[in-house]
Amino acid sequence: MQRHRRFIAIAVVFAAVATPLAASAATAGQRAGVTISFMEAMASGTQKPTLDDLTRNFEQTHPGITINLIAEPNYGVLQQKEQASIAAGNPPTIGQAYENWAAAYADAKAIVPLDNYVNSKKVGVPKTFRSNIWKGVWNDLFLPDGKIWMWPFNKSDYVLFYNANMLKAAGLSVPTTWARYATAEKKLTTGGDWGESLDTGTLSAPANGTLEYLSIVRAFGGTWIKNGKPTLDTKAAVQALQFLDDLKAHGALQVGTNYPEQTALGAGRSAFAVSSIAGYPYMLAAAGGKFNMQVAPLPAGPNGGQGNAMAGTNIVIFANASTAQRAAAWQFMKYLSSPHATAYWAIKTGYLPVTKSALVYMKKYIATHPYQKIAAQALQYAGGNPPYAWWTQAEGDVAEAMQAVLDNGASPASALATAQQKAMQAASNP
Amino acid sequence: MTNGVGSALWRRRSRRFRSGLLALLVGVVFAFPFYWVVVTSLNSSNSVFQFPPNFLPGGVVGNYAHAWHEATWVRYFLNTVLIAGSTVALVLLTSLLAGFALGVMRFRGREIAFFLILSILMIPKVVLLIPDYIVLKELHWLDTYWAQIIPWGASVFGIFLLRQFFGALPPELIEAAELDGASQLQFLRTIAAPLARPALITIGLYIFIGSWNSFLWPFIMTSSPSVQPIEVGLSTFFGTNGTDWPGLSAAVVFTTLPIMIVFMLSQRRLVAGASATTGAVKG
Amino acid sequence: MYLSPALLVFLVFTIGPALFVLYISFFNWNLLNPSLSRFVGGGNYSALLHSSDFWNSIVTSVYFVGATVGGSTVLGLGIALLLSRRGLVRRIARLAVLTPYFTPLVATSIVWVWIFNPQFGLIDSLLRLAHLPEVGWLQSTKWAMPALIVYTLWHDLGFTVIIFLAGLATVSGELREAARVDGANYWHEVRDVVLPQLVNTTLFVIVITTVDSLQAFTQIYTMTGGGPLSATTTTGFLLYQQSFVFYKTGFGAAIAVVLFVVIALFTLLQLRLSRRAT
Repeated sequence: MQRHRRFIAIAVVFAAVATPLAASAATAGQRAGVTISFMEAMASGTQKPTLDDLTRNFEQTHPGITINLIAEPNYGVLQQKEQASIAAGNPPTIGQAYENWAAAYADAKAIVPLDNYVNSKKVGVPKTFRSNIWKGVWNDLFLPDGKIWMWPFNKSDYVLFYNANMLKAAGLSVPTTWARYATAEKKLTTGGDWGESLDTGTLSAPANGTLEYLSIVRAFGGTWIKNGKPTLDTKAAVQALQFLDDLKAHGALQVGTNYPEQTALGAGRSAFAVSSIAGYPYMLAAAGGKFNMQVAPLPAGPNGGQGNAMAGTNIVIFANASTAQRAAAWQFMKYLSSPHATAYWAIKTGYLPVTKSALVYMKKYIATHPYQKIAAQALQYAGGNPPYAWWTQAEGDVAEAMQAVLDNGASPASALATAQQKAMQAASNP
Repeated sequence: MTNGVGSALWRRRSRRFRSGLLALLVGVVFAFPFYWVVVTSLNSSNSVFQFPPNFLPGGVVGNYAHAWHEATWVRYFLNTVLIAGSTVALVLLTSLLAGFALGVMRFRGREIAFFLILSILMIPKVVLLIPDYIVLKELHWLDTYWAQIIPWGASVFGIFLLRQFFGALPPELIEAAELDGASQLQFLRTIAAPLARPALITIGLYIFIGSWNSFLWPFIMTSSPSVQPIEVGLSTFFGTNGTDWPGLSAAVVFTTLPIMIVFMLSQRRLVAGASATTGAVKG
Repeated sequence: MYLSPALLVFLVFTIGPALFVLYISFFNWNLLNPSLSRFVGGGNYSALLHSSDFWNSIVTSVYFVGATVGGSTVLGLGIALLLSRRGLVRRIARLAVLTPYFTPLVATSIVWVWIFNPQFGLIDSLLRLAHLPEVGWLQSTKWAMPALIVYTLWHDLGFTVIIFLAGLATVSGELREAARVDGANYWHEVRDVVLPQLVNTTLFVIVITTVDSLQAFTQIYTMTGGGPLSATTTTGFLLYQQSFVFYKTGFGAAIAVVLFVVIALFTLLQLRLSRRAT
């Protein structure tokens, strides 16, 4: 009941604020009576009902546009379904896509650039949008050709979840640098408990652990790519992998699969978990009130270097869509990034608002969930997936390097050299 | 130990006891994972993560209710029954016709046809996924029941079994039918097929179970829960609830139990069918 | 004709697509936009021969197939011998051994993922209780394959046991009795009387299990994803990975062709051998 009432309240505000936009969009849609399809992976927990809410609200304020949501269970399946449907010539109108997927789609001429929509006087975004959107999010919308090919939807970045009880019992404060983090982990590895669990994923499916590592690389001052080519074996990269290897050797770091960081933290056996902020509802459920679970920003590297990986996807428009469908799709995508919608999405799912102005509508939520603001602010410097088709394999090579070091005792330098060689090969053969 | 008949008997008895014990051990080892998943499904997360491990069910029935509500299981079950049933019907038809042709009818190229069919067994389905996807797309069958039934409508096992069966029919039977003026189709319909009922039941059961358990094909060829079968549903559930082991265990139990029951009720026939095929290969 | 329905299905969904796979193996095939595909002749095949990933997958496949076929045959025969007598205990044990084969792969692999979990799973908990070193199982490059093999054997032994039970039933009871009267003990009886009569059955089991294990996919996908560090990436899984994850479709097609040739050769070999043995 309460949710229903709250939704009505927000819906009223939506309607009030969005009416001018809605009116023009409605007439455009009405003329066409358009149906568009949206292939997405927002199928679990609060994600599905929230997206349903937003979609129905959009349809109500834009009569004439119907949206079919095609929910896939996870990103792996989503990518396969998108690719397969493009191959077979029947892609949806729009779909969620990571930056490297979009690069592959653009190469195959399967999606369309969005500059005309974004910059359009009639249907484009207001001028203030440029300064409003988080810098990291905005930069993420481009492909190397300089055009905008994607529009933001569900963005998140990485944060540090921790068991406040365990830290307090050991007399530790929340670590703000990776060095202090290592010390804390080692101190907390005692009596059958340990510091953190991570999942590197595999060559075909890198997981959270790989992105945690890549964040540390950036915090240590390293880069992932340069001039359109991978740079997986920089000094910082080797140091970062050595950092994790030390923790593993000490027993402070454990490796697992199927969100082991959630399982370990939730079971009260590990003190920390590095995961996307979008995992907050799951972490909370895993903790189940057994202890005081808190969230902190990712630690900084030496010299205060900040490194974070942006997770989550943007939306692309597929080339098979008709002009009317593209126009309707753009309206929907713009709506999702509008302050009220993105704020509602963030509050309900734990993803982050894509613009700064959305924070204004989240004041009450942020009062009780302060970390949301912290995580959102990290979007200013967080880096998304490099927009190259070969990044899929390069990221897999990073996961394999991590496996070689953490599971197989290889040296970080040699493991990363191998990864770099394989990634370079992938980058040189389009 | 004394020599003689008494000692041999004692040896035989103690061997039987020992091998009986070994048989029991083997049975326990094989059955244990089933027991374990039931235990896990009846415990709460807390007791599932504890150490030393908890071997007893905790009577927590809530996991079943919770897992049941997380996905459209009824729909998945109905889909699976529909797909499996239709596939069985189609396979029985094609196997009857092809097995009859290869086992009874004499025509040129009979051996070649058989070898061709046998070689198809060797092509891994993984190999054919993309071209098959494109074929199904051209037929507008993607994300439908058809895509999950028609491509599986012919089974090498079924053709094999019926070919052996029909090949073993006494020639007098066929001659008698010819003398009576019956056409081959009539013979098949009124005499041969009813005789083959045990084989048909075996094939039907085997195909039903295979269809129930299928994963990769429907996984690639469908995207909507409204047409997906149970294993794809479970895989989806696993992907999004990978840490909820008690809930996951409950889902595993209620998606596996139906087919386990089907198997247990029909195991005699299946074993008989397997021996028939073995006999066929022995020549 | 009578064969036409079956052949039609095979043609449309098996033979035709197989030829298409052969065709695209000669291209750098762009799955998303086929018109952008480039003809490369034998390029994919030479890349294959120079690819360490491919040769590693061959080694991994030999490991997996060898262990599962060997295990299935030897253990299958052993268990069939053990369970071939009458009695309630054996009947129950038979049911326990057969059941896993007829239950779904996804469901049962999930159970075993949990059993193999290094921090919370049953096996490592038992090792910890016995103060033995814990094993990483599906996380360890050394133990992931053994873990996968254990699961596969647990699941597939039901099939080989059925075949061997059927075979044992056809072994002449008189000959066995005669051997026993002659004073042969149990093991001699098995070796000299039973086994020779099971040669064809054994060959059949070997071929079927080889073909099946070369096609194994679902448990690898669910339990290890081909890892860690490609330790469980068989050639079949590599094919999926190259074709469906990295979209190197032409390259994947070349792998498919090679895999098919290997399987075909092996099956022909069995047919030849069994004809000779009869």
